Amino acid sequence: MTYEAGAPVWTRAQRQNGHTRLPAYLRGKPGVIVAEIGVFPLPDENVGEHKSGRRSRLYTVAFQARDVFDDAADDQVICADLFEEYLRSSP
Amino acid sequence: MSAHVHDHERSAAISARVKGLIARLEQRRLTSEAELDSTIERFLLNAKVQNGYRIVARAWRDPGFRERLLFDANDAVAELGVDLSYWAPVRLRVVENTPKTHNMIVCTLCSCYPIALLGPSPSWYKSEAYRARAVRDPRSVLEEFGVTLPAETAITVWDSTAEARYMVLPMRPPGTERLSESDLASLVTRDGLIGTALV
Repeated sequence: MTYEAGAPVWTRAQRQNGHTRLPAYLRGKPGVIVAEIGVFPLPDENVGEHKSGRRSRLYTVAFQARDVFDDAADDQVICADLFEEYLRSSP
Repeated sequence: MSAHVHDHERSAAISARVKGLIARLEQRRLTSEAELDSTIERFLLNAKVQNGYRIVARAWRDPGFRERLLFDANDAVAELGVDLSYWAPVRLRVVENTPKTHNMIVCTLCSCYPIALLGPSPSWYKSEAYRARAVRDPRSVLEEFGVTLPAETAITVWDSTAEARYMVLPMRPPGTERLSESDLASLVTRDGLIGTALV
């Protein structure tokens, strides 16, 4: 599933074994797609001995810091670059 | 054990792994020490913070360049002879500070940094304290860098987690309308390009 700029998304909530570029603090959080960056090898499947060679779309996703950390400032935003595999259209 | 000692032990372990890896590559004749040295030298020769200063000064003086820089930074910095594709096809995004928004760059997962534009990163950028606190409480981190933002300025933190690199375009200081591009470039600081200083 591809996402347009402005689309609401949720990050994957489950912890994944092995390598990933989804930071733990951004697991299971609501955000909004800012832009698509391009298509790159998916790091999760391209480390170690068994590389799948799979590529994935990478997006910049904006989060209200308040949705990520209870004690964050109301007006702070956190943007992170996340692969499509980490995103869902609902919680 | 202090965090400092812990860091040293860890970097010693990484150094040992890198040395081992190089030895294996040399054994199999996949590379040589001379080849590695010259590759790193060539890269570092062009990877310096003066690139960042020049880009900012040009953007302050030339509205067309500023627009291209914010729209497609890879293309725009190529106009100044800066090539970001030396090792890997990295996307560059330049984010602009305004009276409403201050931008700050961090890499929470490791230490991603636009080396081609800023040179090697400062050690604090790689510290666990900066990486953890920049996303959670950037205003306090800025205070510790001596930067107090107006209350109405919101902060956006860019966490470089993957294939893109970020640089901040600071606000042009008032009273600099008559300065030449090279004089403007001399006002810019490395921390300003990371977002931990205003210029």
